[in-house]
Amino acid sequence: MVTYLYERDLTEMKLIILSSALHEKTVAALCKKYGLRRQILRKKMIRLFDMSLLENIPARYEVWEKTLPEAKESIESRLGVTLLTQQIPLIADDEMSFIVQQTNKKISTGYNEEQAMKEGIAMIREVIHS
Amino acid sequence: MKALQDLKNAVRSRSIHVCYVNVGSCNGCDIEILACLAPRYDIEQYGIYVHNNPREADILLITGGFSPQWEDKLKRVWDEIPEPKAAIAIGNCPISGCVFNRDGTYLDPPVRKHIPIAAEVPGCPPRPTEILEAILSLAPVVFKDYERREE
Amino acid sequence: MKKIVDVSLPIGPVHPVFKEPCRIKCEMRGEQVLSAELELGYVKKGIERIMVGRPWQEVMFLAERVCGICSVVHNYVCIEGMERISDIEVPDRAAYLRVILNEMDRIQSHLLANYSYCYTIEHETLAMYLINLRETTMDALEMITGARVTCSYIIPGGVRFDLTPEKEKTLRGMLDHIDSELTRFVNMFKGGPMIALRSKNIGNFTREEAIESHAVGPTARASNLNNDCRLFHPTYKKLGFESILLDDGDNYARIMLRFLEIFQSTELIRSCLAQMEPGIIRGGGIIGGGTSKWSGEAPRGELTYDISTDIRGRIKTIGIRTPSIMNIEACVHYMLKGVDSSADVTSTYISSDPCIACNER
Ligand code: SF4
Repeated sequence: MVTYLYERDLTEMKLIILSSALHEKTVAALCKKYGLRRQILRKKMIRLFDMSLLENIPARYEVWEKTLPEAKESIESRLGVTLLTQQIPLIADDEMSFIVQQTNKKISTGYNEEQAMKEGIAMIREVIHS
Repeated sequence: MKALQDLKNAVRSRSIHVCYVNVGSCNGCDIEILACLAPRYDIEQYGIYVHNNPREADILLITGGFSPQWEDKLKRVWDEIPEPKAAIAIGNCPISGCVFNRDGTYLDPPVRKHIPIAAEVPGCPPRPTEILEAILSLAPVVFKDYERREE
Repeated sequence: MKKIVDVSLPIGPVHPVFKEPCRIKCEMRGEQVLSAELELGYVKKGIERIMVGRPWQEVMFLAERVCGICSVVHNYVCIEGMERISDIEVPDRAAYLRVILNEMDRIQSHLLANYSYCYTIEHETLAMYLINLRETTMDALEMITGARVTCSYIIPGGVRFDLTPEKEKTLRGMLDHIDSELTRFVNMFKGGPMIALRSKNIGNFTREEAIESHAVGPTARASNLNNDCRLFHPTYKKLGFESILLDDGDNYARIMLRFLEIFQSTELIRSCLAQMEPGIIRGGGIIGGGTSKWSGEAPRGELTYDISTDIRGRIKTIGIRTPSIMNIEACVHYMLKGVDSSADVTSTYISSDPCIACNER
């Protein structure tokens, strides 16, 4: 942990950034996709991201939305792997690939695909909660 | 000590160092300060140098209505400037908050509440010539015979 | 983002090269930057919150004060968004006048950006030439609109003042002056070995990174990513607009691109003047209720206004996405990474033409 001279607690400023109209929309969309509570997602974002990245979240989400129609229907795109590791990096790469692996394994062992997806999303939720 | 004082007066009237701080403006006033640097207005012919370094400044130009992040920092910048010093508020923002002083704003104008302001230049934004004139007319008032007045 | 480092270097908020307050926190190994973070919040004004519930007559002026450097384009995009909500037609002459003003503003802003860059790399001669040339542009703006900054020239259904033949003649003279002077300065920039060495291959930014971070404007176009909003604008289409692309993606490319765009802007203004026909400049109209999302090309890139109004023309919700949001993020997280010395940190940062006032609104 690096400590700086005259460091301030920035939580309040970051929350102000997250409360603009465009951010509300994006955060609501993410919450709906992963079944999260808004408070928890906001808290995680405030902890992980610096202020310029926070400002840029709506634009980054839009980039991912634009790639959606081209991407083929796969487990990765349905879980939103690039969204959570590159565009809005809430989850580390290895954790994400672990989740994808698990889901793939479940499907190959004859699990119902919908059920597997649901569990995959639940795992993502777990990671964000922690 | 009259000779020394006269020397100081002469030197100070030709060497005014300026620092500008933006405490929540829309940038309009800042670029008008920058425009003063242009050879057309030629701020340096009057012996005014814009350095933006508080430790060697004599005059602090303030733009923008006060945003809460500056609460401790502006005071710090002000304390770092050596005496004699003066602050000038540029634009409507530091004076009254301009268009931002409405419901829902995050700003906390006027700046006068936080540090002493010696002169105010209204306008949204003021013209470069007005800024220049404010600096030039304030400087003798603050710097002339400073030590003699102190005694 | 925390790593083992030997030096952590905070720059700002008050720093000699920054025009506006912000704080870059670099984590470095020796002099090489490993990662950088940006701390903002020094100019947060809450404009979007103030706008809600206010009639368009007030919002128009508030929109202009999002950013004082590119105030014209905020005016432009905000009003065009509202015109789209309420189906207001703009007279032809007014549409051309808007483009002229927007391009004048772009010239002014690009000159200021390149001035700051030259000043940051301590080439003061070129910097002073550029900012003096900018005064010519400001004169043109003042001649057309009556004010230097925040001129609120564009109103729903038209523009405020016409361009009389005498003014048009003066404007042409000014354009020629800008072209001939700038050619000289660009040659200085290109030919000066110290300037080129100091700028080439520094702050590299690839096309993939530009796509990932949604970079816009000259910053993206210097990395060969074309997302110029002028390509979709009806008036620019009539003028046959094509955007300029470079593919190096370093500081040099970004500055060069801005110079090239200034020449392009003067050409656009000339063709506007040639195509324009006398006529009315104010059509009138009433702002009604509805929602629209409209983007325009600001000097720094794509600017989006997401407006919804009620039946009397009061704002219900508004979201403003300014170009600096994307560009600063791209700069801090991609360009600064791997920069070799702390002196290049500031020059790379300035080369992306950051505007904190836009970023924070
Ligand atoms: S006085 Fe006007 S131009 Fe100056 S910072 Fe305030 S709003 Fe901007």
